[in-house]
Amino acid sequence: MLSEITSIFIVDDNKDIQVIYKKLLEFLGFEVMGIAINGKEAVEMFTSFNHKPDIILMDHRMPVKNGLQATREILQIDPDTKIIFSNADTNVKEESLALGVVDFLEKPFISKSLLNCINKIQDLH
Amino acid sequence: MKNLNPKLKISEQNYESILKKYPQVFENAPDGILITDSKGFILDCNITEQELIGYDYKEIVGKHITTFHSDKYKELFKKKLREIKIVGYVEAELEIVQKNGKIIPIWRKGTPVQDENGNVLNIVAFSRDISNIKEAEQKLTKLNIELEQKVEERTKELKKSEEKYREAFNRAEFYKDLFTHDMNNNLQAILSAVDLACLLLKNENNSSKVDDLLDKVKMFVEDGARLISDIKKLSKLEKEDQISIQSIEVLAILKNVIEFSQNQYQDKEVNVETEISYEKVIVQANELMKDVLENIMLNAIKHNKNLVVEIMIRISKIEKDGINYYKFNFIDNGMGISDDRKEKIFQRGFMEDKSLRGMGLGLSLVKKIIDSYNGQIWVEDKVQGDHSKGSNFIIFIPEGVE
Repeated sequence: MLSEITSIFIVDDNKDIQVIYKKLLEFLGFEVMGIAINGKEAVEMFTSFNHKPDIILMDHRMPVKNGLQATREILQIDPDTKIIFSNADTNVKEESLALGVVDFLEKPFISKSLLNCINKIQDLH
Repeated sequence: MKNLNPKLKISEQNYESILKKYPQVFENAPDGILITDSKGFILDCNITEQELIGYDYKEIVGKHITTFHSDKYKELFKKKLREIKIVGYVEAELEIVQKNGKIIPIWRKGTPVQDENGNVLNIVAFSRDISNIKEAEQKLTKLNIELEQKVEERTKELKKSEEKYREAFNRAEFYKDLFTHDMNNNLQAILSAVDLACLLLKNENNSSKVDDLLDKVKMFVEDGARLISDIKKLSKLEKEDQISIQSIEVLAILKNVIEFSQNQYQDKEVNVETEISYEKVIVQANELMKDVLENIMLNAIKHNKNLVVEIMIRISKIEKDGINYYKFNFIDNGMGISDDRKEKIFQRGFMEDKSLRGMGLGLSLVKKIIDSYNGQIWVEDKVQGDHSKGSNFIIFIPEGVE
């Protein structure tokens, strides 16, 4: 990690989830460097970041562009991007892992699971 | 009858003698028998033939065989004469016209009597009334057609019901999918909020933050409960063809809904103004009117980033296409709805555009309910041409009787 504080980019169309994730992650000592409300916005924001986020927390089912599509595009831009993929349905689990996401979380997941995923990514470094 | 076998090539005399020898065979035959010369002129006939044609012996003999054919079959003899020489016999179904004008379908088989050189001397023709067979055939054909029609009808019905079931299945799948997605998101928000609350509780100074979070959790649970209720109502509306509609008073319901929605979001101040110049507003609706008003109000508050939410409710009367309506305006200062989404927001049906997912079911339910009232609903910009200033939801509901 370049900086000491792990930065996280949240991609989820659900406003309630955005707010709670942000509060939770910040409480746990992470930096939430941005929130995108759909896959299209996620790709645009990712492209525009000067410092890329350490981790992207990516939802799948979103309007305009879904998580799989956004993941594909982001990994094309930077194949080293660490993405934690989440969805209520596990039907996209295999596909997301095949694309190269680090982990898949089935919604609803407890915060401990998310933290484990983040720790695992940090341990890789 | 030996003499009727062309291969024997018996002479005319022989033939005559056999007829003389066995006259009872000729007269008592169950089929009509005609004997003509080589050109088709009738030389002799039996009683059965006379009965069949409906003319006397004298009226028949000397006439050409086609004299008694119906118009359709006048040319038949010429055609068959060629065939008889080649094949050795001819068979045909034709119609004859009786003396009384009645047309009878008959079957006729003609066999030539030839000389040693193969020249046709006579033709012996057997005739049989096939009215019964023809009638049965026609009945059968008719039955066949009817049967085919019935099969076609049944197939159509079957296809229709298959389509209906497929549609119902798709709808059920859609609701299941929607429910799974929305409910899981809801549970995700609750779970994360509870996790955070637990973490915050480790420090006593955080109690106000925990209170806030628990308020949020309460709201998420209520959202979940509303989702369940919306799905139940939507699926009920889809299922029932006949929705009971009566005249109901709306102002009392509206008052309750305003109070309820103002209390739903404690972190927002909700100012509701009304412009209603009626003591009672009676519309053709039912108990689902509450859901309509609640959804519109909660949407206006939820999709609003201002600290002070302003909602103006205006009710007026309007006549359109000869029908009297109450017109409801709900004007908010929320984030508005862009033009490309103005229609879509009401169409979260099972044929939905995937990009609309996650938008909630509320407005689809509202649209379904308003449709069932024969009303109308649409959304305009509060400030025309600038959707970002807020929305104006317009609802027409037919006026009821007091």
